[in-house]
Amino acid sequence: MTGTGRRVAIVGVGYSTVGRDTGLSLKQLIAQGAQAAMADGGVEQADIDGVAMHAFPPHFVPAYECGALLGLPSLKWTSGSIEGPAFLSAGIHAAAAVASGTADVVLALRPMLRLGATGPTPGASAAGGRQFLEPFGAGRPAQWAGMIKQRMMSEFGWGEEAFGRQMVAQREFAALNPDALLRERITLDDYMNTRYVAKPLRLLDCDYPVDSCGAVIFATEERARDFAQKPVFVESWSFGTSGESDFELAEDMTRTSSFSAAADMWARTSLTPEDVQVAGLYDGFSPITLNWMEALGLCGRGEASDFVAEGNTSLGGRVPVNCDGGATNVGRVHGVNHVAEVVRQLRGTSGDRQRPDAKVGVAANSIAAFTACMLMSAE
Amino acid sequence: MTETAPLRPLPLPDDETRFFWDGTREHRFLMQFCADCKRFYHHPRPVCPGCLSSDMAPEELSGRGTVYTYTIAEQAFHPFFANRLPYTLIVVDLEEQPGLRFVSELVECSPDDVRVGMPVEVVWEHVTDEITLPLFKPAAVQA
Repeated sequence: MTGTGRRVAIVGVGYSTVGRDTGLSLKQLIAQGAQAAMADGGVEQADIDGVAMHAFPPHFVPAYECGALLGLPSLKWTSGSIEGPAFLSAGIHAAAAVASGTADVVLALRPMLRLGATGPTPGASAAGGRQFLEPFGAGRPAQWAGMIKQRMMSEFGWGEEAFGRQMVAQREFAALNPDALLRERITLDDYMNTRYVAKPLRLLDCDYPVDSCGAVIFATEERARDFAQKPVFVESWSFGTSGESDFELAEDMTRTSSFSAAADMWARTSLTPEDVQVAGLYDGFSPITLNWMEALGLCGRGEASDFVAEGNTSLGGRVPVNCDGGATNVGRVHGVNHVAEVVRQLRGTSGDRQRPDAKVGVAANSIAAFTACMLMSAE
Repeated sequence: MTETAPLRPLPLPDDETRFFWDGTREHRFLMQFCADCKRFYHHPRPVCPGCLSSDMAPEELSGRGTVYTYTIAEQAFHPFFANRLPYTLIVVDLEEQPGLRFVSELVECSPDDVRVGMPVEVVWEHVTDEITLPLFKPAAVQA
């Protein structure tokens, strides 16, 4: 890795109980997720000297409080983020803290309680930027996702099959993943027969809301050698932001800040898009997954439809995408899965859904107003 | 007994946005215009994103543009919209400046007929004595 300080490795990944109605509190989920990642990596309480967490109020527990909750009495560094690109907001903070020498072993968390498919119901009046959305019946995430899907279809001449084929491929992976919640195989016809939420966005284009906490532990290369798992190294990363903070107002909906995040990530590594063998690309809504294929250079602009149709992203393909089934099938763990499954693939422990000989993988979260991506490798 | 119908969520004007809603009440479609770099911008904000000047004033736009993209709302996320489904949400490319956009509802047009690039023009929806919303309809054919 070049230009980002000390070499960083991922040494543990794990989840809490994940489900529609777990009855668990946010703190119970945090404790479960943290313990799962610690058990995965053979990481003890005394090893951890930093905590990063990402969550939206009111379902937020500050990072320092997570530390106290988990019996970590003397952290060197904490970061609680309530904004940004899903788990990678915390993940990149954690990696950067390790790279900079601020901390040696950082636990990154993304806990969440299930919301409706689109968040809370708007109030009777809309303040701030919301006053230009909610009075029109706009502003829900599924609606901007529908706008982005429509723009991709209109600009590139795609049919809905472009997105449906990726969702079918991901369900095939989910069928092979005992931890996935939705495991029944689907066909393209099944996809095309599900209801619209915000046409052309269909229910099967959306992730599956759950209670969850995903956790990933980042460490220096030196410390990583002491832990239980084969280290997966973090090669490069970047955030991306946009000139407009409303997703609906993205200047160019078929590019967005994902393209600048990817360019900045590639500028800090000697690896290239051709080296990528497996990818975890955000699927809160399926258009985001296809956008990242193009942003990262896995295929050319406007070519994601063909790239998927040719089988590149499916089981047995050149660059399988969302090999755990994605958040559409394992549940909305909000980006943690996109890192965790790439880590498992690079360890070579993904079982029936393993991409043979995977040594380089990439994870990416969000679209438009804020984005992030992270490149990983195994020895 | 009649149940109270759910009300449309209303904008809450603030110091930065009041000019916009004062304008729509008079059927004028206003956006901030930077006196230094001569560009419009939306949303309203304290400085021009182009040059950081705070020398700006509201200027009236034609209310004409084209559809950049759209979505047909098939599910309501607020009770007011439940019996209005389906309705069409659009992002309008306003004609005054490339990339100057506004999110609104397209009315007087079947959801089957909306297309990217179609010309649209503003139409005024009186909601309360304080609030009038700028909606859009297909533009009249021009000679």
